[in-house]
Amino acid sequence: MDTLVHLWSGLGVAMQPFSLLMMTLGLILGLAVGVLPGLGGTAGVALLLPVTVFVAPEVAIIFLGAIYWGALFGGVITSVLFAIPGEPWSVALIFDGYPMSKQGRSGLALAASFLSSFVGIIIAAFFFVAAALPLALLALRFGPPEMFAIMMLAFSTFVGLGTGKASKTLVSTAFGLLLTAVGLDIVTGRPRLTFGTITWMSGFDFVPVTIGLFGLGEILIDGEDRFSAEAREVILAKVGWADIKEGMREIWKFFPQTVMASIMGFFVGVLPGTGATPASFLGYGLAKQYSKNPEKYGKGAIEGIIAPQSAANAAGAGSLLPMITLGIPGSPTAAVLLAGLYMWGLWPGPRLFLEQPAFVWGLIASLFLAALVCLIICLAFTPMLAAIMRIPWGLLTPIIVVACFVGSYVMRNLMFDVICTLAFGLIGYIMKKLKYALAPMAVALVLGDMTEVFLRQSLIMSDGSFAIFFTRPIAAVCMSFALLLFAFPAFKLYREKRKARVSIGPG
Amino acid sequence: MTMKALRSRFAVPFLLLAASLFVLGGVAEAAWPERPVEFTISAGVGGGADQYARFLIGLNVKNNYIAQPIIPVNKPGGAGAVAMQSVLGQKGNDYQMLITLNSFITTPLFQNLPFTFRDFTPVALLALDNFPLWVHKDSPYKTLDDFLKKAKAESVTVCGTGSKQEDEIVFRAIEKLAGTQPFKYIPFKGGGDVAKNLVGKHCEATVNQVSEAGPFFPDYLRPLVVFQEKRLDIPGYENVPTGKEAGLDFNYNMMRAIFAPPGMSKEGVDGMVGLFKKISEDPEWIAFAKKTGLQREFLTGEALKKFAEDYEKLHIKIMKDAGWLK
Amino acid sequence: MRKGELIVAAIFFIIACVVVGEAFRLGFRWGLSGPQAGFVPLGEALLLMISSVVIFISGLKDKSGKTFFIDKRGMTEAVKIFGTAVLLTVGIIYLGVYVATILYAALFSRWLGKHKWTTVVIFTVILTLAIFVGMEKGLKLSLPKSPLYWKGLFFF
Repeated sequence: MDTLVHLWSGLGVAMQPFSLLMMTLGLILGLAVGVLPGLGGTAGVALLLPVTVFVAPEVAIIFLGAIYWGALFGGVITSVLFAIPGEPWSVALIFDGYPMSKQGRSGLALAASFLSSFVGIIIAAFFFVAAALPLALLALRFGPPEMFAIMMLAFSTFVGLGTGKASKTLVSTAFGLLLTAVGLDIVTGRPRLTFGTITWMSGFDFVPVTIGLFGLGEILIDGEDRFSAEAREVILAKVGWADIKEGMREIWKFFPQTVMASIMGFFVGVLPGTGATPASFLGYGLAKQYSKNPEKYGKGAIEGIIAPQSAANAAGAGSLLPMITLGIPGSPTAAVLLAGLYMWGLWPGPRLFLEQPAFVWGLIASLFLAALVCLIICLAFTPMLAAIMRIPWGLLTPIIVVACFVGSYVMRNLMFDVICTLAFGLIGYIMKKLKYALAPMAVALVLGDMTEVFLRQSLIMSDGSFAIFFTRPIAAVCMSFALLLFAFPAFKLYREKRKARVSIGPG
Repeated sequence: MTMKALRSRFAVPFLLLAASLFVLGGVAEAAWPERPVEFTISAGVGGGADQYARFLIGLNVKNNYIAQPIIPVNKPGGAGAVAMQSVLGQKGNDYQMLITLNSFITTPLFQNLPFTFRDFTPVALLALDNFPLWVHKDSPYKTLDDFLKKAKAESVTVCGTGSKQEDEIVFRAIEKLAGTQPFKYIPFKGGGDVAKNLVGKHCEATVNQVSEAGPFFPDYLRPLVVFQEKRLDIPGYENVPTGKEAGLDFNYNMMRAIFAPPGMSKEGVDGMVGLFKKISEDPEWIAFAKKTGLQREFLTGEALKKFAEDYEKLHIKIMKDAGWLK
Repeated sequence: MRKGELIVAAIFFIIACVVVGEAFRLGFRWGLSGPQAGFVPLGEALLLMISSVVIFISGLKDKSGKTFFIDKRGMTEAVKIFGTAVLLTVGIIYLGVYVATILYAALFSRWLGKHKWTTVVIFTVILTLAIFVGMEKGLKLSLPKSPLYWKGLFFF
């Protein structure tokens, strides 16, 4: 009951005209930052942080929160249209969103992803209201061994991600993992694979690499195909409101999956240090593995959009929970918001929840409103966005290429990243032509680094013994699940073969 | 000629002269900055140094200390090496500054980089940050002695930010001075992660700054000692002894300073020093410092250089003792 | 296709060898605090090595006769697009983002897009201004600028 009272008063804060105005402004800014590749919600929040010193803290946090939600929604647009990830967590949207776009169904793909973003955020908001503090305390019990087990869980869903030859999937995975090893080794502080240069110490960042791999790579492939027979019959993107209705129908059809993905995403997001990107991959992997027709994935399956997007958005909202309840920055965005708290003269920490109810509950209540307003804005623009695909090739391509390079630069302000994008554009093109699966490489890039760090942190704790993953209860449960999931595809394969043999046998 | 006419006849040229002088004076004063100033941050968005830099930028937005915006430029990676290399490469650029931590001194030493802090233009030291020793509220350690007794008997698990950087330096120094068993040091990527792992009892002690761990005191964490000359001047922390008082004579601080590229013009350096002088006197900065236990200092030019040199000597000694340098 | 397959597999093999060398330098044994810095990369490199060998061998057996590029025209097109992207990168490094964008957008839309000069000029100006206003003024982000800017002669 108490929480409902708080929520009601929070709604009072969020519904004030000035709050609503700032929220809408924040959402539009967030959408803009989300669309630009490389500029994420974190950067958007950080960029506009100084501006907020002029307004009351509770309005400031609603404004900054809105930027973040806007970016969560907007990151998908370029993924779907051009295979350029607007945000790290929208890489998974490329896998099926881009093929849909190529089939002229970009409007539907966008509508479906906006709708699943909405469901994801709303479900996250419900958990926020229902059990913020207990969940945050539960998240605290996840140390390095537990996090390693979670990573294993994420990897286990990717056994079936590769398409084509297993050896090629292994190469992409190993190559992606190796890229994450470049830079300073966190445990020893020594440079690894930097070849004596300072430039390489920065390591390969996920954003420039994926922008090159997918975005620039696709541009090269499209350019080559431009004059071939199939491409002649240009599929013009359908533009209209019908997509939105169809998107709603699809979401309804896959509603249980959407809810499951959102809940899963929210829990992954609450765990500090993971954030929305692993959640989106996990959402995609789980949906594919347990789908009735996994062969459709990667070729424009709408489930392949709904699952990762609802998971990512729920996770994005969830990653703010430890910050709000305990003052622990669960993600870089949360860390920036934390810096904001100091600027507004608030003291973050476990007491914030009790001492500043207007501030905390204003933010939570604004979650519901922001999700709704953002959905309306996005859906209203969907036909226009889909129409971008009608810009002539000779003009659209230079826009995309320049956006790729600018996007890869702004994240870390390194020329190294620009060169990276160029190089990985070529690598992505060649690998795609030779039928190497790129999805496992992207996943390896995100998870590889974290996994190694968690593994080695755990092993320092245990003096090098693997038993630590099975003696701590939460870690043991997650690890056992992961092992089961690793074994499951093999088991399924074995059963199918046996079935086949049995049915052939007597006949 | 009436008085009024006289006045008006002289008034116009006089006003013009005054206005032009004012404009000229204004121009002379506003020679720096003519362009936006870049603030290079050796951490990613949301990292520790990033939060400080953005706080300082926020103060400029509020009070317009300089007429041009200050633009944060994050260049994470290589424990600060990437940011240092980038700023060093912009020789003679008056519109570039770098926020520095102790890694500004330790990284060139440990990574054997082809430059040191001496290659940069010193701008200002704003404050010295603290290193208290934190344990969980439920832990049996009430004093530093309790903790050291346990650490002498067996290897204690501790966590901190990064490897071979400030936090590990503190623990290795304790190891050497108190003669404890080697700590099991778990490196994390950021101060927030470290605080979370201590609150979640995945390690037994940390040396987070008050700005990082403070929010959890007294609900979850407890400071045993602070490794600096004076006690922390924060309400609620009066009873936390200094290292010397608790029987371990060791002082260590994090420098929150600003350096700039080599070969800058005098106006550029003076302009930056002026900016940070104003920031250092900003009431909000003073309030922030008071809340997080920062010792406010203001050193520039030769004094800052001297300070950095002393700091380098201290670090060389600790790092040699730990076997990180030959 | 066959040649490309073999070359790429060989490159991956070489990368794996480099990493193995680095792993030896870093140490890959199991220390008191778990694996040393080279342990994980070594495992990954071995995986890469073995799979690239498998691909190389199966590539040797490939007799499908498919070519890497679709046709000659597709190949020149891909080379042109990549070539202009290389020029853009070099331009960004030496001339800054904005000047490089002007040159690149004009070159691309005229040479590859075959648009009219008026379209090319309008397009280039709008694109460059949009980036400049959006980044430098709107978001207050600083992108690399040309030597002209540093001499105080131009906006970017």
